[in-house]
Amino acid sequence: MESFFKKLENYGVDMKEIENRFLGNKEFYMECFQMFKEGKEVKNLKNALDSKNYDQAFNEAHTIKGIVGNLGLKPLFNKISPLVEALRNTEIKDIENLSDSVFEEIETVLNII
Amino acid sequence: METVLIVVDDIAKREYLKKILKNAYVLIEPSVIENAVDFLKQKIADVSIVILGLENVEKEFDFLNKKNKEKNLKTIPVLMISTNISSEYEIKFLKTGILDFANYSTTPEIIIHRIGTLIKLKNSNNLISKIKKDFSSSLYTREYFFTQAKKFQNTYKNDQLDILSIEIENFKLMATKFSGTFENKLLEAVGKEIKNKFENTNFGIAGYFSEGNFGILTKKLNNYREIFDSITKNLAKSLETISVIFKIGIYTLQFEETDIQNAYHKANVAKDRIKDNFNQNFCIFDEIILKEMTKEQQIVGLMESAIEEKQFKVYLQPKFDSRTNTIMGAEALARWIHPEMGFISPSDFIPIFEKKGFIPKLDYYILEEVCHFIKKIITKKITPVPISVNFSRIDINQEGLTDKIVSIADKYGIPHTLIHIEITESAYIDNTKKLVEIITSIKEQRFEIELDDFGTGFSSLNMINELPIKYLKLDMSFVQKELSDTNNRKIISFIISLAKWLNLHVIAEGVETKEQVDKLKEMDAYYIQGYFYSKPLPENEFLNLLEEKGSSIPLPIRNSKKNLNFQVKKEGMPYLLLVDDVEMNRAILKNIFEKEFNIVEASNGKIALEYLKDTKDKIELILLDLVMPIMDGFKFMEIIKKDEKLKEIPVIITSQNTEHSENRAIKLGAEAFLAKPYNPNIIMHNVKSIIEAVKLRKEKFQIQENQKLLKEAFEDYLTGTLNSRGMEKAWKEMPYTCNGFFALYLLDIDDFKKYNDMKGHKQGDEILVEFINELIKITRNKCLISRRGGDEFLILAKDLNSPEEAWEMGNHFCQNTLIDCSIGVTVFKIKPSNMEEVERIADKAMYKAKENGKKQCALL
Repeated sequence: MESFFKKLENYGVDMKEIENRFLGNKEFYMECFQMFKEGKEVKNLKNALDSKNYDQAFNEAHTIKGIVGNLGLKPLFNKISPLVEALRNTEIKDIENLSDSVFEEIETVLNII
Repeated sequence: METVLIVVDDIAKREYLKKILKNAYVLIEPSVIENAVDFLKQKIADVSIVILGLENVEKEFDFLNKKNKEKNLKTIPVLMISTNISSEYEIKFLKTGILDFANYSTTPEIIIHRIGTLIKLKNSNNLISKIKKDFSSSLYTREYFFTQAKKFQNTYKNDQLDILSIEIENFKLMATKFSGTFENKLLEAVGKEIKNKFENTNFGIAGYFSEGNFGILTKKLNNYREIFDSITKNLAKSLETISVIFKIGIYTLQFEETDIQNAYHKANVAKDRIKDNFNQNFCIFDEIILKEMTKEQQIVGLMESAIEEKQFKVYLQPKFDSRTNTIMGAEALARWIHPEMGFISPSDFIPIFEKKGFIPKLDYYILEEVCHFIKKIITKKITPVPISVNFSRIDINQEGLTDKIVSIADKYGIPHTLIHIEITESAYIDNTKKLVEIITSIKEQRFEIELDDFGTGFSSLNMINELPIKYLKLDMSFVQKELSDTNNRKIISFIISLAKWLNLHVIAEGVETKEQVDKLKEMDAYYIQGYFYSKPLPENEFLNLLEEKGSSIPLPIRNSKKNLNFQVKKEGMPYLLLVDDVEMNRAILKNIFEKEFNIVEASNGKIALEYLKDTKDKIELILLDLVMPIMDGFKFMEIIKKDEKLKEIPVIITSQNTEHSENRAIKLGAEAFLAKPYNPNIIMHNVKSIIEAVKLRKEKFQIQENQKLLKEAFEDYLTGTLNSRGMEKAWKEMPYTCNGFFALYLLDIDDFKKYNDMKGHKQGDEILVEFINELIKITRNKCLISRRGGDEFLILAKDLNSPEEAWEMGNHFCQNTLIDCSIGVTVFKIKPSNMEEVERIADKAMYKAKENGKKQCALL
């Protein structure tokens, strides 16, 4: 378990912030991380983007942004934030430019565990 | 009631004593004073105290000396009563064992009190075994009952005698459920009834033993049922509230049977047989009971040596995982193989062991054998599985259970996780708090807990929530045969999903057919113990099977119970409503708040609204997300702010901080906006301070409202000055004195009627307001002014130097108002508590002023 948190730290997670938010309960953090990993949000975002349903995509991206923020996954957070804004304003060009790197980053994060 | 023996020879004095004591005690007296000691000997069982007062002092000494010669009379206290007594005699009497003196000239209360003290002294003075009568029921005590029983038996040698063991059903429960005095009241009433029916009619003797148990020895009767029906009826009348049910065992004494205690025991055994049988109240000791008793005695006789001689063998029934056909555990069962009697069934000996308190010995023995066996498995390099050991509810009530289990496991160096403790539901009924405490302490030592026999008896959801249980054992026997019956399947599938919801593993017990296994599989229950897989096996056979099948230990369930959306309402804790579509957000918030709040979760605005409309819980605060499917936070805010009832609930909006929604949220009426990701400190601080602020706001509003109401109650609606109620209140709150004189003026507008007649009512009202304003101006706010009603006003002034000054001031009022009035005034230095009288004088004075030609002041 310890090495999982080491990897997280290397990835850019501020462990102090995490311990604070999760009241020192690391297992609970892992459960939440697992929740993210097993959740349908990423898949839903992919589907929504593929079918160009931007309203739906905005909702999904927004949710992911919230989760990622809570999990303290800063590099991913920084990448997904502009995508959320682009989706909010339906700036299609930006959306297309941003989404690939977001999914790449998600892949990286989920491979930590 | 206590019985007092009066040994007083003067008739007048005797009658006096009888008169003052008759309500407090049962009074008896010897027919011939000279035979008082013999009389006492006869009545020894009843008498609590003797009151002694003889005209001749020598006779008194005579009585005392005779009494003290008899061993069992000596302890009966004596209160000396006389008109006066010299100190010389007093000392002499004290030496003969007199305990206290009383004088006829003292009050009856003192005499009664002294008697009471002596009786109490006697009872507490290490004489308990010699007490003849039970205090509450007034029946014999247990010891004395059996002494008297012997005598009774001798007296009625030629009669057939029955001994009855009687128990009040649910006595303990009744005694605790009702108030403390109830137990005494109940025993007193029952004692009285039994006495009436058995002792007073000379059929027998009766005793009260303890905890609602009575004994009666009686000449054989054939109408016990009738007698007890009548007793029950009478009790229902005298106790009013509850019905008393008796369980009665009857044993007929054999010819020349002398051991009465043993006879009572037999009646008791008969009674115990029907204890839990609600439609049977009588049981006669017969051959069958005798046989069972003999068997029980036999088992009791064998049990001690059975452990020493290792007659108990551990059998192991494997628990299988039906998906892999591997073994995931086993239950240890005790088998008693007696060298002569052969196999003794657990159903025969376990209840007796429990009754005799022998079960802990057996359970610890089995645990030790199991540890020994696990060690053997480990040394053979076979992967071990956890083995469960049964612990009875009697074990749980014993001190140091956890320590003992730990010490046995550690003695063999067995990892605690390899031992499971099985407890039954019935353990939960007796002492819930203690059970939870002990089971928790066992669990803290990493022994897993299995709940046995789930669904057969007293199942409480609370129990499985309170106890740190990991396995639920579902006994198939109660649904066994009819798994095809849909209702039974529904029950099982409900229990299984409940278990899943609570993160418990289910082990189905007593599974016998493949069909059952398949059906259970369909319902997601895979752990199975039963003859279909294997019967209980001796150690070696189990070892072989384990080696052959292999083992699989269930993985710990990922979510711990506390993070699940299952929560028992905590009484008195405020409620917090979390509205957020992301489960993780709710989980994090819940983790922060669940210690101090009852948490209610909703995944969107619509669900939250539906909950708010139905619930009776008082929601203290709502934490609201903005972006949600179905109904978002904005829409939700709009709706609740329009709802009269819901708009008062404070809302904190939590959203991502890049959204610039803060402004919009505040505009919608939110108390605060908090950015995601959460910072627990900030969010906790905000929630608490907002709840406080809302509370304060409400209180302030309430105070303002109250003040408004108060004002309305004491104010004259028209003129805004005090009304008569307000004046009265002001009067009451004023000090009794001032620096000089008080003056009360009564003002009446002269010819007020003419204003009304001439110009209509509105005009009249305007005149009144104008008049008041003039008065306020003139008095310069230094006086209390009130409208008494109609066109009459009262003015209360204080700190006046003289009555003349008061009168002059009244005239000043008359001269300086544009509207003419007549005034009566009265002065006083000390304010009477009641204003009425002063008011009447002022009223008289006012009439005088009117008579004298109006527009002037008169003083009375």
